[in-house]
Amino acid sequence: MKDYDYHLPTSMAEALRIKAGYGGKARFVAGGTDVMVLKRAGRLDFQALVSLRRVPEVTGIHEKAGSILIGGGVTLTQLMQSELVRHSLPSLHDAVSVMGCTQMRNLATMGGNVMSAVSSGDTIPPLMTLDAQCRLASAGGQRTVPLCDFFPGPRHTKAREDEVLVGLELPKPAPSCGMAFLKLGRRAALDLAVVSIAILLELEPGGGCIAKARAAAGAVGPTPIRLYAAERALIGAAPGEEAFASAAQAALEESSPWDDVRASRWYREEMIKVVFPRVAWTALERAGAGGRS
Amino acid sequence: MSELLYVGKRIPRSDGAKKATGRAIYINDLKRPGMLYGAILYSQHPHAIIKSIDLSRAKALPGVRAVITADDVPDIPIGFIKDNRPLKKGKVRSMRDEIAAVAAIDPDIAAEALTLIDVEYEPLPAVFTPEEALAEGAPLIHEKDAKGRPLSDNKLKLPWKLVCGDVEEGKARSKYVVEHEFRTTFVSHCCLGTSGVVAEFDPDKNLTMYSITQIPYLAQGDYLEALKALGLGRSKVRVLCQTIGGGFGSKLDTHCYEFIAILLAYATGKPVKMQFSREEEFLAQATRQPTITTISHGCDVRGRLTFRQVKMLLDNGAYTSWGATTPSVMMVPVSSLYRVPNVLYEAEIAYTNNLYSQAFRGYGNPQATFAVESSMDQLAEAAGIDPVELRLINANQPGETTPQRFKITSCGLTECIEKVRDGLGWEQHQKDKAEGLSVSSHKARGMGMASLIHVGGGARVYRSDGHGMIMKLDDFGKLSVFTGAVEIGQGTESTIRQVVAESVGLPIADVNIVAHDTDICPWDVGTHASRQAFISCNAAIQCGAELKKKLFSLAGEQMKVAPDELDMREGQIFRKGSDDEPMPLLKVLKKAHFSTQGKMVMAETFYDPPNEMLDREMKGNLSCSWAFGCHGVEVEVDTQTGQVKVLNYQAAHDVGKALNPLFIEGQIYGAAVMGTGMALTEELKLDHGHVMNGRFTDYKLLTAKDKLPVTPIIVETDDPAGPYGAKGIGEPGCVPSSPAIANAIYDAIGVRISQLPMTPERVLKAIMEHEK
Amino acid sequence: MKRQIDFSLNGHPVTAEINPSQSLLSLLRDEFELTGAKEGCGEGECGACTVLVDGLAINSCIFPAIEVSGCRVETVEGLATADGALHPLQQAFVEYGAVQCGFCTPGMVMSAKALLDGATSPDEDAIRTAIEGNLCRCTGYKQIVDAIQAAAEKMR
Repeated sequence: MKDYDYHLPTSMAEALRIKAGYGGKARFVAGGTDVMVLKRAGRLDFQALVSLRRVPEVTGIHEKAGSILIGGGVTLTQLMQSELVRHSLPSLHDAVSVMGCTQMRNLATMGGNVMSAVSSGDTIPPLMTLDAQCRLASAGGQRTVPLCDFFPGPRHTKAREDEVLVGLELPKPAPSCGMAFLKLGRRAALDLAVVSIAILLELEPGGGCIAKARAAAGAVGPTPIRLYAAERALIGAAPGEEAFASAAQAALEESSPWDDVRASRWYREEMIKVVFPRVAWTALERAGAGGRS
Repeated sequence: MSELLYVGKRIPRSDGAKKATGRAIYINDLKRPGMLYGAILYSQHPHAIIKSIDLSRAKALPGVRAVITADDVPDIPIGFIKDNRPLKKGKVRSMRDEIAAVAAIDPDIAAEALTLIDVEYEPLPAVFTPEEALAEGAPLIHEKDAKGRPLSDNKLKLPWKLVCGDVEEGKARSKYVVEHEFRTTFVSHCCLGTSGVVAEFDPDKNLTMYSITQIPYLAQGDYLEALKALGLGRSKVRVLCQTIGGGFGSKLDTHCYEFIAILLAYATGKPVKMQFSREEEFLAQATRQPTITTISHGCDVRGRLTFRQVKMLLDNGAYTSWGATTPSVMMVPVSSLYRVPNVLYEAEIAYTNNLYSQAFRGYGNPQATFAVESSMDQLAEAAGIDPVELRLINANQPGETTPQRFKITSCGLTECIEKVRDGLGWEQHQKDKAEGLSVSSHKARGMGMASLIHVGGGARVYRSDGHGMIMKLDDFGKLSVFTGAVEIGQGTESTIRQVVAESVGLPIADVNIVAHDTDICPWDVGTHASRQAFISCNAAIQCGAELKKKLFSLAGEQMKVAPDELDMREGQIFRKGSDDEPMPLLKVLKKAHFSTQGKMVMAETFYDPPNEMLDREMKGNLSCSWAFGCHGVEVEVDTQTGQVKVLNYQAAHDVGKALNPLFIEGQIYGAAVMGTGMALTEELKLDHGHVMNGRFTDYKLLTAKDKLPVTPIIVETDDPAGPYGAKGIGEPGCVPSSPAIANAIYDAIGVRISQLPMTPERVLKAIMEHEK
Repeated sequence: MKRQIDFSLNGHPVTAEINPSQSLLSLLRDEFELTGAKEGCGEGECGACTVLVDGLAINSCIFPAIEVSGCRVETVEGLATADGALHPLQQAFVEYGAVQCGFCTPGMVMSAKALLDGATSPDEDAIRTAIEGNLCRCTGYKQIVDAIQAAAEKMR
């Protein structure tokens, strides 16, 4: 393995400064569970790594003025243990609980899962349904990009190479929301999704039709995607088998799954049709139960 | 018989503390002074001519001490039919072909040197299934055989055939006949410890191999062949077995990398370590033998089996290792699982440009039993007989001789089947089915079972099935036992200790096992065929008897008692049936040793069991005793996703006598998970000869979270030939898993999955096709 | 370009000169000769390299050594006391048959230690979750779970 340098800055400003010194030849790293594996496989090359593990500006899960902010450096274990996340963002909690394994979750971060931009990244579909925004920082300042627009292509984000994903910001969901997530895999741990779907539903006051719907999927195309057509099929519909099947069909049509070593395109297509209604039913139950799982 | 002190007890293994404190030395941990690191360059094409290899850039890299190809070393034919070479010359026949090797001062430099070797290939057309390989006009993979005679096709000249009785007569007598095709694929051992070796010559050119072989003495022979080719025919070879990070049969062949380590050590004059990465382990550690099986099976109106006809087509890969000999064991369940009078087994083997296969726990039995036991359920359905009932009707019984001339002595098959039936709640399930009870709209539950027969009392697969043992008492009353057994994690050393302590009459703390050194320990044919406990413990009893004869002769003199009236228990020598004060062992030993013309007590034995090699007709009592068992499974199938969940797994095994129930349960739990992996999730995927999922990310081993609820059921039948009545258990535990699960899936959804692994995708596809 | 780091290793303050690109696994095995943690896959998919950093179980094969600067590192070699008494986990692993070939054992024990240091009465699900990233090919996991449960009781 070719040698590279490794920096442990203790502030965002320092991290950005060190990174800028290398031009494009250094990479930010947090948990390293993706970066180090890619390096070993010869798929990444860099002169230096700039670690974000000791940068306080990317830590913490906070509630502030109707928003929830999750720092990019928050580990998946911290996400899993957060009462705020379990209570208010149950689909995100469900996603993190089935990711990787304990050792991986102790290191892997919120920011890393988003920035590695893998189609099967499990935190992304729930966050997409929660209207999450990516807060990016560089030496030049800060900006925000909606998560749903963040992935122009596989393993590709809209972040510039000198930017850090400081965190994700999302509006705190209304208590009447119901949200759910299901990951279909091949074993119970250490698994990447064959298909994953997240759905958030809000019903009209007094029950009745679906007033708000968000849906997103992972591993059904080159990037995680919002299922806009499926959402349109749900909004205004009476929740139930017919609406869910129709929305699942719409989800299938806006997906573009492929064959890979994990599953065939055929199976992924079938599973979109099966998993979508199952997730929708769970979201519906939770919406009916006042949003609590 | 007085109460047993050690045999049958749940005694923790003696190397447990060493392993749990991180002090056990595996090959991965071993360093030798001046050691260099070897690395192997593998082929870039599944079939190609090597036009040129330029080593100059690699040789020039600082830190590189040797770069070799086949042109730099003598010809060393290896493998079962000697069609393989450690380094390939002239052409490559698969993606794992080793074409060059490097030794360098550290692993990173060795890896870099590989990238500097320039190889020019001329790709050739390739074949990736045995059908393609045997088709008219298929490219020839080997042009000549080991004797240099030209070959005209890709068919191996290993015509496996077993004929018992007359299958045509059996067919004519049958009321019900079923026929089906079954397929199994490439499965990897996935030992957690990756493969490696250190080869080291001393100044006199004697070789020491720090090895993880399961066959140290046979490997010695293989290494000596290499030395002969190097002009070192008079050199000695010493094999020092390291703590092994998993065996499962993967170390029963002497592999290319081991010879390459020797060649590099010879070229550099330094110790050379080869250590596989995980990716390399998936590529170059040969797999379980894939199979394509057609089976037809018949019974009469009363459900008694009339015939069984099996035809197999095997993918040999590019070179021949033990995979090509698995038919010799696949015949075992075909001829002898249940009473079936007429049997025909034939296997055809073809070279392809895929990876080759070797021994893997069960040695073909799991693959054959998948076909036999799936077919039994099909037959049960055709005949309208309950699957458990059909098995009980035809169950092997003690005292029978099977058509392959296996002499069944102890046999607990019936008891295993009944206990599994009860443990599953089979009867209640049949009632629920009759009433049409179901779980939900998209979940279906089903039960299935499958039995096994396997060798349990050694196996004469080589001319010798023997085991040498030496025992030596020291002045502190401690007994050293020198054994050729290899501890591969199964607890063999601890088991020998228990049996020695029991049969010799010593406190177990005073029994010390010395193993893993061919210079010191006597010859044993190998740790394979589930034989080690049976063979080495019988050797221990035999050797212990010799030891006691000598000891009691000395003690008798000192105690003024006839030697044959003496016995020993917990290190105290006493006169049988008398209340007289016993004499401590230590006193006898010291008095005998420290006197004029003193004596020390040692004994030796070579135990070779009374089993037979298979004759030219593939018949004979291969093993002294036969292991039986039965697995029963309840599954829940999600009919929309094809996912199969195991709700209940009953695993009953006739082990003769559980020498250590803690170890037996460990074998049953571990093998059940391994067998379930083979049934549901494990598959090394090859695409045009390329390994597609050679990483743990995508080769799906079951994790602790994939909770498999296994209930081990130990059945004891007190085998007459076994040490304290024991029989082998190492392999049986993974033999019937696949058919038990396949039968349960059929019971749940009425669809027979006949290809492994039964992934959700495969199950769903089968459900949908069935619905059409 | 070697860098110097100071950290606590099995309760003792230590210093090491490392390459920035070196993994913690390599540092422990090659520099400190603590060969309990093993390389089973090199990419964090098998857990054979599991050690604890500030009480958390991590895969040391993909963890940069430089990141342990100022941290508390625990390996399997630090569990037994100086007089050789095994940690209750190690004792239980031996007693319950949780060790066969033993290659996964150090990593498995450390994952279990991380769990038991934080939770006194874990249920079976919590135990299986704690070791879900530790592959074992020999035992089928059952006796490992039993051992961890027994150790938890002892440690209460």
